[in-house]
Amino acid sequence: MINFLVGLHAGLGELGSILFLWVAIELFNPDSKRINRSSKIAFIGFILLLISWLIAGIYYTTDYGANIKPVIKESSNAWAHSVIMESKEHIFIILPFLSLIVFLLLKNYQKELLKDNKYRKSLVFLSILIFLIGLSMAFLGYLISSAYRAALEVNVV
Amino acid sequence: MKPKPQSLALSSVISGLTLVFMTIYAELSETFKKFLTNLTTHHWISKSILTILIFIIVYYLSSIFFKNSSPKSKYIYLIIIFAIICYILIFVFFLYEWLNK
Repeated sequence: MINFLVGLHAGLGELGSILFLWVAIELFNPDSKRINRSSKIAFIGFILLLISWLIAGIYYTTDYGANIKPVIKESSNAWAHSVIMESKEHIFIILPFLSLIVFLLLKNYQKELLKDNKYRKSLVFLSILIFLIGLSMAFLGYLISSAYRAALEVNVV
Repeated sequence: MKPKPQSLALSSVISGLTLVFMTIYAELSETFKKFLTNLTTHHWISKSILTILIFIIVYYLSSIFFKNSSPKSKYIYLIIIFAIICYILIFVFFLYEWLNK
């Protein structure tokens, strides 16, 4: 059965991560208008990642543990849970914290971004890191979904 | 009041490392995993809540000691480096566990 929560978790998580790529692009050549806009984008990104985290928690502690995990663990692709899901569920927790930090710095230290080029570059790198971690979460999610589908196909055949 | 960049960096590093510690130690010690499970209803929920609490506590405690200053690139790079370290440590640990099962 398709669970609506998985799509919501993945969709919001990816959207939240992509917003931080937008933040990084805004900061490539910033002016006060762009910094102000990037602060708002970072806030939305943080909220989306936070909601994605909560939804992941509901899904993981209910449906995944009861229905998906046993199927994957019984299959020849048990690594998809033991390595991929175990890593993903813990690594994801880092994302909302990183996004909150980017938002707080953008909101409160806007003038410094125009004056301090090193600080601006470091914030660009942090935003890109959030985007890349988010992207890797999607890839790990794809591996888990594929392993589950493969396990179901074997059971059906 | 503006958030202090040094405190944000320190709290993110400490909470990240605590998350890694809880993740790895819960896999190695069944007692610790049960303790985390009993705290809420699931060890993952407990790890999430404890990470949030540690982030908040370290932030406010360190804010007492750090002076107000403008954000420096070194604080941000510290956050970046430790985020990457946490990512690698968690992934490598589960990979190692799987390979040595």
